[in-house]
Amino acid sequence: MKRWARKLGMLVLLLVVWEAVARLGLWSPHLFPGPVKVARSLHALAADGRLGAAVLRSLGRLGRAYLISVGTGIPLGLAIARLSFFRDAVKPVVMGLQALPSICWLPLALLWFGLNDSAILFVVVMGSVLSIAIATEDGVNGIDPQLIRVAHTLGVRGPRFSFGVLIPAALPGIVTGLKLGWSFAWRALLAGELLFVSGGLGQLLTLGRELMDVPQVMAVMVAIIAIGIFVDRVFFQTVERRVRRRWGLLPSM
Amino acid sequence: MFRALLARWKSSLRLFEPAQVSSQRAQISVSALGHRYANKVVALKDVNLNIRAGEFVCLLGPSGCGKSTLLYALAGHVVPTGGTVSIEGKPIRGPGPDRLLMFQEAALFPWMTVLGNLKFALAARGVPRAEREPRAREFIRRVQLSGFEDTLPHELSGGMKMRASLARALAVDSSVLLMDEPFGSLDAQTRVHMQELLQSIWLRSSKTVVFVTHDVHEALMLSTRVVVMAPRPGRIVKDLEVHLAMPRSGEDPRLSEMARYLRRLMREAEGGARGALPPHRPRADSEAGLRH
Repeated sequence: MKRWARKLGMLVLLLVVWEAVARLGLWSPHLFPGPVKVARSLHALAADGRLGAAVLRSLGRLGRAYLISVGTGIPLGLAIARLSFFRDAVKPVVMGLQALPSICWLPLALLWFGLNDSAILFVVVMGSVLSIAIATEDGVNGIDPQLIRVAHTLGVRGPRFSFGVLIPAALPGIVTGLKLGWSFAWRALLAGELLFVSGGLGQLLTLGRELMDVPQVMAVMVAIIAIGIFVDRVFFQTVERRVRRRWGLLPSM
Repeated sequence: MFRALLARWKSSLRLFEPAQVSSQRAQISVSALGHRYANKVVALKDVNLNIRAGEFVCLLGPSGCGKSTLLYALAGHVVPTGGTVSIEGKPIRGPGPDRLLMFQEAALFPWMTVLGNLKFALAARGVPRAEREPRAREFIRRVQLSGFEDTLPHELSGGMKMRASLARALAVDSSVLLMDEPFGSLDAQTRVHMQELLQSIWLRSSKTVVFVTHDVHEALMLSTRVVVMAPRPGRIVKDLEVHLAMPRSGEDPRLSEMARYLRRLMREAEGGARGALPPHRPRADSEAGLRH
């Protein structure tokens, strides 16, 4: 309760200071609107459905790209952790590419796929798949060797070993990787959307800039922050906590 | 001469008899086994051991005598660098359905309930789906864990985890059970309880058990045969059958005398490994030294 009060107090304080600074008129109100103006703009965006459409468009795109990332990242991570060929040959490549910020893939993506969805999907996938793979590999390497030995003595082999032992045992690590992958994907998505007419949140931001509509820019930023916090804090944190509790990694109280 | 014989006859040590099992009659046969770890440490040197089906064999020795290495070689988790290990006449190459290794930790899968752990193990051993659940429940009952079927391992106490692990080991029903100090991490009371449980289950089954321990008392309470090992290099110094009816009582004076003898053997073996054999001490002295 007390922690919530503090959080809320801080938020209110921030808004008040923001509003006060905006009203002081140090900068032009067009360039530095207060929270009230931003909230009004946000409401307007939401009311005429522009925000909703953009959010749906962006999240739909993100969802598709993220599914591809998870679908290739986890098997890739498992392969790197368990197969010596992947460990010796593929891991250095993955590590190397991981050093490249995902937006750097965009020029290449535009040349390969043209100005369309596929280009953004490609950028988002490249931004998240490697971190998911690396986190999965970490999760598998962190498995208690005793569990692997038990699986062997029980005669657990093949797919039953992969899906019944390896993946569940590494799941706490994998979930952390998924969370990390999601935040990389989110960043890559908006970076990609900013650059051309894409109909997503990123484009809404660019549009605000082109119209010199600073309240709209800030309103979209607020929406982006809200979605980011919601998915990260509410969704992933809950899943992570559930998994860790079930696995006995947290006190069950 | 006569008095010496009489003393020998009166002594409980007559209950020890050197084990002589020919390799033809053995279920598990270890011959000229040697193992050298990658760091050049000689864990085992020229170990010969034949185990009959249905025996309860304790590998007893101080730490570093290679008893665990020997057990892991039987389990197929360690490939020895020399000699042969075979079961039912076939050389052991890796883990197999005829043997099951139990560890010092319960090593349950933490994301599965107690019942789930047993069912998973049964599935891995190819038990038909319909049979898994009743069989799992039956073995949970046998280790007195009824009511905890749907509990997750981390919600169980140490002793209960071990019982669940024992249930899993017994449920898969391999003819040989290999146990690596399974009760080493339990408190004294739980430990005695687990020993009784294991013994009563073993008496009702026809399993061969190879049990590693460094606890002389535990070895004498449980086993039909004690194999005393010594370190540097790991080897067998004595292989004795224990002719004492089961269930045994921990307070039995014959047991304490036998325990004293085994402790002396272990101490001598360890002393011998350090270079010189300690001088033979008078009995009163050794008794005083053995009190714990």
